[in-house]
Amino acid sequence: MLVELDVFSGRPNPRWELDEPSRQKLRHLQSRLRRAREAPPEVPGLGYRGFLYPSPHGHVRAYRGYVTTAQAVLVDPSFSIEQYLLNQLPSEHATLRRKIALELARPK
Amino acid sequence: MLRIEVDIFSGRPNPVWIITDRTETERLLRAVASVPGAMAKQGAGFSGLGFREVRIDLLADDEPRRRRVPRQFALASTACRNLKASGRLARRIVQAMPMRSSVQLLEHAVTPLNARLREGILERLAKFLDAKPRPRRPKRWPPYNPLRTTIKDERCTKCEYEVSQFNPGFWNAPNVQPHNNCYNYARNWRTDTFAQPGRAHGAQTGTMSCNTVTTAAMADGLVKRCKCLPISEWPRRLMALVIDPGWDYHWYRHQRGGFWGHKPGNTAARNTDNSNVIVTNPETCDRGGYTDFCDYFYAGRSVVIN
Repeated sequence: MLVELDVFSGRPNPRWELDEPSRQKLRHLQSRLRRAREAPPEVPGLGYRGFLYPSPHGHVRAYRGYVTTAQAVLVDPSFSIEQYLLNQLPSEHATLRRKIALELARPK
Repeated sequence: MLRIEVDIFSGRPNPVWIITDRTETERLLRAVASVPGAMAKQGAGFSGLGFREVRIDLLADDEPRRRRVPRQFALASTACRNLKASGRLARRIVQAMPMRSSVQLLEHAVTPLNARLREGILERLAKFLDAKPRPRRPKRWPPYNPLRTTIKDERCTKCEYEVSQFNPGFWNAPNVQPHNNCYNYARNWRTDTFAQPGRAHGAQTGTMSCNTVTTAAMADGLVKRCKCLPISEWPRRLMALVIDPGWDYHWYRHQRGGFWGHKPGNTAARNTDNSNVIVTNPETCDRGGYTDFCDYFYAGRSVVIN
């Protein structure tokens, strides 16, 4: 499974493969989320735009506590998906990880 | 039956005659059909004073047709792909010009067919064919394009550039959007390679600062604003560079209508900033973390990106 941190405009976004145990963990985290009653926040043009990963029904975007799939919007109050994927970011992006961590810590 | 007209005069009627002889008609059309590139559309070649072309028209609607021979065409026209061979055919036709036409035409009253006329035509035809190729009518430059307007730069009025109609649909197609970024959009060149400043010229940078990205982009041919580009560089874009220091760069392009368009990474092309306000000034719009405004640049047609 190819995961993408959608953050850059000019440079290519960081992308990396998730191994099978990590995929299972991601699926498990997603299965615990409930449907959102409200619309997810609008994704900005410039800056952090969330994590993208594939699913059988199309791409999924996890952005600021909401997980948008082709079928539903799920609410993720603890940012569990984003925090998990951020921790999976390859080590060469350690400084970027810190930058995104600050972004996730920003109040909604 | 064929009508032959030598398009040569300006005031007098052109020399005209009719070939009624079926064998002669057949022979002429066979000869024309056998020489590739000998025919051209009438009136498509040189249109100045002097010899211009020999025009041939089939006169009857039930004339037996030869393949590849239209009902009307021109020989010895500068529009012919094979002018030399076409000229030889034209000379043969003029040499066979009748001195007493069996078909009397109104034109013959002012332009009678005679040996003097024939020699005059042959002489001018020879000169025409020996002459150096005439310069073609200069093409209109820049070519008409309703989607582009040339404007004067308000910061340096001696310079001009082109602004385009905002056309996000071009960039937001599923097979285009993921493969083209802000640099593609601002330069207005879909490369499908997520183009990087300097990469086309071995000058790509990994350091995200105004200086380094400017140097890389200038290796692609961008020039600083107010260093006017000539009209030969049409269409010329006005681009703006901003930086998220240490992380990334971003480009905007000035559009028709006074606003700026951009395409953040693999997202949709747009003309609004991070606050959803139309970008009228890239220096002051909401750019998120792209806090450093670097400079404006012109990009002409010679700017190559990849």
